[in-house]
Order: sequence, then structure tokens, then C-alpha cells
Amino acid sequence: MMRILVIIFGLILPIQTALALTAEERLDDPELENRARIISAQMRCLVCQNQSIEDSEAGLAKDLRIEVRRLLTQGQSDTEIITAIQQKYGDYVLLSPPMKPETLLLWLSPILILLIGGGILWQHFRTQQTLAPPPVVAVRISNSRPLRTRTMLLMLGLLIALSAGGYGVLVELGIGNNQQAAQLEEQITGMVQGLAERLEDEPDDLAGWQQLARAYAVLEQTEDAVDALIHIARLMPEDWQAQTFPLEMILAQGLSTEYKVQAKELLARLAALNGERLEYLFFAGHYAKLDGEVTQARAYWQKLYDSLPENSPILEQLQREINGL
Amino acid sequence: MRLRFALPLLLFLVLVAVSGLALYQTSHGKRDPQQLPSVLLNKPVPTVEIPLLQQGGSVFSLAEYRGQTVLVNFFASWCLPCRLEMPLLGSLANEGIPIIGIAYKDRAADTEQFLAEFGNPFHAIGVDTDGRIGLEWGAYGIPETFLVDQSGLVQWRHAGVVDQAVLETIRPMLP
Repeated sequence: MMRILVIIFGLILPIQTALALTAEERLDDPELENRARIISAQMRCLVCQNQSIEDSEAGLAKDLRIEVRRLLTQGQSDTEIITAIQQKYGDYVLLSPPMKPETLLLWLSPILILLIGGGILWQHFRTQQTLAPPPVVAVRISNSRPLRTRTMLLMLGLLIALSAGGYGVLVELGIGNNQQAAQLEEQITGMVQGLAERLEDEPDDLAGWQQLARAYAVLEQTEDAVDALIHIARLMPEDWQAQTFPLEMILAQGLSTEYKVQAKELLARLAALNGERLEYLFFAGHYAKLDGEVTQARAYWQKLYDSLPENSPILEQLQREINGL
Repeated sequence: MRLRFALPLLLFLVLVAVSGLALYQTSHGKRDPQQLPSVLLNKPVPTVEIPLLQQGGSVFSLAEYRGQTVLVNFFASWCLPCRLEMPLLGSLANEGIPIIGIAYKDRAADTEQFLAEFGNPFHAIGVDTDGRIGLEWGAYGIPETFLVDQSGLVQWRHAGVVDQAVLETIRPMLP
């Protein structure tokens, strides 16, 4: 039940809370549009302070979005566009401030804080060392750890703090970060490829296929993930959820038309299991609508409508979908 | 005193001093956190061609005003604060300072009516229908006023109503 609510809301949501970007602003070339979004996401909306112009509905943000797209269609590079807008509105328009003498203190602040913190710890550590160790009796009475353990703990803490801080600085400066991420992704992709090859020879290894589907989903190789999920559904024809998972993913990714044949196969299995359940009614209606079989689609969704509790928040939306058929 | 006490205390005092100074400046009108510094300051004024409100189709450029100190005022009929500053701009115009109005995202008929109602202090009135000229100037709020000196450099920018107090700050720059 919960899942179907989520799905139906998923269907409605893109209409209601899309980006601030409106349809007429969008560029036809998806590659240019993608660049426009990346550029816009780096620019502060000057009248709303901590939103990017990509997210803001303010008039000035809209103007800047259009300007970014106009310059893009003129063939300017990302850097040229960012510089052009920066020359008119100043560094403040950039959400990430550039490194220059005025911002040096800002950029160096993590290192400074680290140095000060490290200094305090070091001072603390030194005064601890110069103290004579307390008599053993006193240690027993106070029940505290011997000094050496405490010093070791302190050093360990310092080490962790330093490495965490150092890592933070590296990430902030963008050093090594991208390279590491790329390497990691390459490793994971390699491992997943190995798994996929092995599973070709062992089509019945259920656990393996489940692992593969998860991995593809994480790597956002959507179609591969859907294929793996469909394979799992075939391995477990009696399992309700094994059939609904790929259907949901196909729907969420907008792949309904491409996977129509496979979806029909899944639907047939769901119908055989229980043709009354809400998920089945929803998906059956969805694919009937895709095939242009309006009467059938209406029948499925009407049945779904009648099966939902009276106070269900999606009734109204469903009614609208039915009316729209 | 030991360093481990002195250092945090010192840092705290520095923090208090910095915040206190900022607060003092803000409360005494020396600093407005809402005001963005203009990148145009001491830079040449944008000389893009601006369509004129009245003579259909003809354009003008700020380059024509080289040699004079001028004020450039972005306004609109839909902008309430703009009504407030029209009388003051009018008196400045009477002193002989050319003021150029740029009607920002406004309909021509509305602009005309606004000027008829609240006075027309402008030497020339340009129109910026889609806000592109505003982008050139780095404008981010209406009303917004720029002071351009004789050599065509932007000397001052103010976002918000030009009132008597604001006027005093630019007096020395006016001829």
C-alpha cells in the first residue's frame, strides 16, 4: 500500500515541484542544457542570498539563467560565461569564492584552526609529560588509567583529528578528491563487470543477481539494473515483490515504452498470483493506457479507486488521472 | 598566565572586537550589510545601446554623456519605493545634473503614466524590457542609482531609495 502511494506521488510530483526553470527557458540541446545547469548551480541568487540561480524563482535569477543560456548558444565556454557574469556582479555571485588575497583568510581558515587546535593539544601533551607520574597508590584510589595509556589515547585522538582535518582541507581545496573518486568508481565498475560475466555462466545464482541489480542501481546504470531485476523476477515467479520491483523501476525511470514486452510478462505473473491487489491494478491500468486501451485502463483504475480507503490522500489525483484518460 | 588560557581568551576577544566593530558601523549607518559592493566602481560605464522610451526605435548610449557627471537611475512604475525618490531626483535635475532614467521591466504606457503622476526628472529615458541592460550594470534591486563621472567611470552605486541622507554622501562628488 505504502509503495503504491509513493509511486502515485512520484507521478504527480515532477509536475508540481520541478526546478525553478520554466519550459521556455530550457535549451533544446540536452548537452548545452546540462552545461547551463552546472553553471547556474554555481551562481548565487543575489536577492535570495543562499540559493543558486538554478533553484530560485526570483526575477533576477531567471534573467541570469536566460543570460547563461544565451551565452552558451553563442558558443562561449563555461569559464567565459562564469567570468562574464562575475565581472558584472562580483565574486559574491559565485557560491564558491575564488582564491585571491582577499579570500586567503577564508580559504586558509581550516588550516589555521587545525594549527591552533594542534598547538593547544601539543601544549597540553607537553605539560602532561613534565608532570611526575602520580604514586601508584594514588592511581589505584582515584581509579584513573595510568598516565601512559592516557598519553597514548591523547596521541591517538590527535592523530585522528589531524587526519580528519587534513582530509577536510584536501577536499575543500579540491586536491586529489576527483582523482580518488574516479579511481574508486573504476574499481567498482571493474568488479561489477566481473560479477556480470560470472553470472552469464550461472543464470540461476539468485544471490549473485540480486547483488548485481543493486550494484547497477548504485552506479545508475538504470537499464542494466532493470534487466537484472527482470531476470530475478523470472527466477522467482511465485514472489510478488520480485515482479513489482522491476515494474516500479521501469516506471520511475520513464522506461515504460522500451520495456513494454517485459512488463507484460511481469503483469501476467502478477495477475496469476492475485489480480485484485492494488499494485497490479495500478500497473495494469498504466500499460493499458500506454497501449491506448482506454476502456480497459479506466476499468483497472476505477477498480483501484474503489478499493482504496475513503480517506486516502491520493483519491483525488487518481480521479483526475481517470478523467484524463 | 599560561598559554592554554591566554590563547582561547585572546581569540575570543578578537572575535568580540570584530563583531562589535561591524555592529557599530551598521548601527551608525556606515555599513549596510544588505548593500553589495558594485564591481563597476571605478570602471567604465557599460555603453550598450539603450532604446529610448519616447522616440520610437531610436537608441542612445552613455558614451554620449562623456564629459559630464550624470546619475543613472533604474526605476519602474511597479516599484513603490521609486515614487519616493522622484521629488529629490527632480530637485537634483533642477540643479543641472543630468539624470538618466532606465525603465526596468516596465510597459511603456505604465512608465508614461508613472512619470506624469510622480514627475519626470530625467534627461533621457531608456527602456530595459527584459532586464538585459540591468544585467550589464550588475543591478540587483530597483530602485538602483549609479553616479558616473566626467571620464565615464562609475563612482558610486546605491541600491534602494535615494533620500536626503544618501544624497549627502554623494554631494562631494557632484559638480
